[in-house]
Amino acid sequence: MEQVLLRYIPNVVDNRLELVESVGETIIMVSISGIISLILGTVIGVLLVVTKEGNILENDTINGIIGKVINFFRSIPFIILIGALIPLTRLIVGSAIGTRGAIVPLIFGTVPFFSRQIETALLEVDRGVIEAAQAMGSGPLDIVFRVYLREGLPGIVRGITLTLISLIGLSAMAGAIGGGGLGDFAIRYGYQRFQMDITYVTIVIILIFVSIIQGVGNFILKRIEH
Amino acid sequence: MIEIIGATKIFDNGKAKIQAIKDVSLKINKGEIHGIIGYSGAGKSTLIRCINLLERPTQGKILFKGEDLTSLRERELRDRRKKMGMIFQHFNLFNSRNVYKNVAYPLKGARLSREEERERVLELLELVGLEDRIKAYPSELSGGQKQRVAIARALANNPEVLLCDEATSALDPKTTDSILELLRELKNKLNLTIVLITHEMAVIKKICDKVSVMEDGQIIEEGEVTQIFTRPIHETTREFVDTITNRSRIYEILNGKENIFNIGAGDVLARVVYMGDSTAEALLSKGSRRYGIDASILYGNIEVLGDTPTGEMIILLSGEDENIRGFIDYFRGKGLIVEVLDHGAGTSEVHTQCC
Repeated sequence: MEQVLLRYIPNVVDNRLELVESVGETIIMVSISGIISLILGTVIGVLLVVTKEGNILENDTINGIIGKVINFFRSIPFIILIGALIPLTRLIVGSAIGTRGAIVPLIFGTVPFFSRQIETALLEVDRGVIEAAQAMGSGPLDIVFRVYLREGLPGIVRGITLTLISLIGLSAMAGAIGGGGLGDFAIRYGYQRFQMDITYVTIVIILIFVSIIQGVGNFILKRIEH
Repeated sequence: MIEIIGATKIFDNGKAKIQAIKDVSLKINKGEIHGIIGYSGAGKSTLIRCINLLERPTQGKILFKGEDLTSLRERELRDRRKKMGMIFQHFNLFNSRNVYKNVAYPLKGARLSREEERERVLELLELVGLEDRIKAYPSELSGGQKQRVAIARALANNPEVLLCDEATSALDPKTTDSILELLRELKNKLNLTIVLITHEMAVIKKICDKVSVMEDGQIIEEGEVTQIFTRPIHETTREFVDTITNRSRIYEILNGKENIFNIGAGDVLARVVYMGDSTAEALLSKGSRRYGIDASILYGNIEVLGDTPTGEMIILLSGEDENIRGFIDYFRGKGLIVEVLDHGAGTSEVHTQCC
């Protein structure tokens, strides 16, 4: 077994401790920035929907501002966003490099995307159902928590799946500027030292991550969609 | 129970202003089923939404049990809405919740224990005949069943009013009948006041006590259903009445030039409308015997409006002028409406006297 591994992926075997560490870093980066992004994105997405024209808390000003800020951040390529956020990142987490330094840009890169996912999911909720809830005397909070977030759940789960997968991609990019994790690992060894086996193994590991996320997402969808 | 006073609703999308309802006033009494009929775009949907302020009228007042809803705060308004159930054309059930949870939704603010809630939900589902489907999701139900769940949900907080927004328009005729039957039954059992909007005259005929006809944002005709059916005044109202009778066809024939009914000299063609008790009497044969004239029925139709049978006939009377006049007076004396439509040559006297 060891012979086989040494023959086909010698560099991976040599750097196996660092590989394990990178996997751990990726998991940490994705989980922390993922959780924070999902919470912030949900809040912003809900605000975006309820303040829309004709909706329960219609407010053109707030809606306009949120929409423009989202578009602004979404239009900046992530690799540039990382650089642009360095001062803010230092201010918030005390360092602009390493896993810790990657979390802030990851959040800024993910929240706008996820907010739009939430928006799409909630807009799929039938307007008539909202109307029915209003007719039954439900207030805005009830409508958000008991109708929008509940009726829109399948769309939200789809959005979460999509967002987490894209977050893994972003986390690899953050690695390129010293953020640690699998991306960093693959670039340092696979790209800069032409150790192609490291690149391939990294791809396989990321593929496994993506499959797990998609699988869990599909499983949850199956259970909640009626 | 409900009084709409001078309600106007203007939709302003920035480019154009659309007046959906124009200065509409309407009074709906406790315990009646009031139908609002109109073509698409007549403003009836906006009007019913103004009653529970899902649409806030641009001008005018909405009184519910004497209280002006437009002057209430949000929170108070939400409380009042619980006393007005509403059902919709597309049912608007929560797809993520099963039947039980759908019906339990509006009970959240009622401070019921789990046991009490269960009892209430089961009671409601029994009322609509769906107690065996509590675990089903809306996607597993037929249209009629969905509307029954929606009705149970709308009644959860013991409302006094039920607003029905095209509640049967998405259902087939048989299911429509069963839902209407249920509504009438619930009205009697729970002492409900029902406001329903529809574009089908058959719905009005089946359960309404009163009807308002809407066109172009205004109520153009209003009254007891029996009255609107037997004596529609406005053109649109006639069109609606025609949709469920053959009346228009017979008039088309009558207006045609050919004398297909062989109206001879001295004959009189008359339209007779009767309702309620008079339908039971054998007036036609009694009358023709008494006055010695012949009466033949060219067209006849009996409708049961709510619980009142009403009929309409077009009859051809032939006999002596005087006797025909006597016959017509006899009918009128019995409370029937007689309208002379046409007459053969030489009977102009009857024509002028009768009409």
